Amino acid sequence: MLETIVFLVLALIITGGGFYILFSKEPVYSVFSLVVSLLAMAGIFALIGAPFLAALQIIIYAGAGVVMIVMAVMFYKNERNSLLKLKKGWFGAILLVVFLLNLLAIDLSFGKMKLSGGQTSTKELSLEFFKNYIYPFELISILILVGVVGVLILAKRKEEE
Amino acid sequence: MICGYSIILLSFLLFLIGIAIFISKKSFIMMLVGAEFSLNAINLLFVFFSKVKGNLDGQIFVIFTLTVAAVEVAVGISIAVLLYKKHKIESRDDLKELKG
Repeated sequence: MLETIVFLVLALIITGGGFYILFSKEPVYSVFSLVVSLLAMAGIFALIGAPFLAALQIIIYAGAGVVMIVMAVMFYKNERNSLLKLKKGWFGAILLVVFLLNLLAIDLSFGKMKLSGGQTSTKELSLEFFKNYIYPFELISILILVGVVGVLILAKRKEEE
Repeated sequence: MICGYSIILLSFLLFLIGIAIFISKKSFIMMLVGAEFSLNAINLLFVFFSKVKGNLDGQIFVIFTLTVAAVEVAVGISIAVLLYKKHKIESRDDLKELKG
């Protein structure tokens, strides 16, 4: 029951952050709301038994990616645009409450699909990773290299012209 | 224990929110934020089914998705900043013509 309550609170935080991004007009506030959502998602990962992925989520998404997005927002001029105009937040709040009640009802009524218990340890994950997925690992490393070279070429060409 | 259907429903709703952000925002940065949000929802679904099935393939695929998302954000943001600095193109309404 405690896990259900924690899950519902985290789901509330994630969906609330998403709705804030959707209805907000300030880019910087939206990006920080994205950070809150990603951290709560890391909490859900840890809750359903994947602590290594929770750590990766915090380090890569909420650390590196969002810092890049904030840096990019600072380059833009502060134009507040969003196609969705919402005068009052009541619509979103009502939708959120209905959704969470729905979650709770489903959680209490069905409960068939059980999670396999226990935490996935980092050792388990890395053994699987380097035994069976060594070629995709190398390919994804090449993808990172291509991304870095592409960004460097884009940044260099700006300086030359 | 947490039941599975609620996680599937949560992932579905988060994916829809990400798509809505991608559609309704005008600036490129916020569109990238929407794409990140959708990818994150799919990550949740991968981890969940990995835990249900009891094997680790889904969690490994999440690592790949994280990498691809990081590269995508880096390249996309550099392109968006270059578009703004060189052509003063900030929102997608400015991209009406295909001529360079």
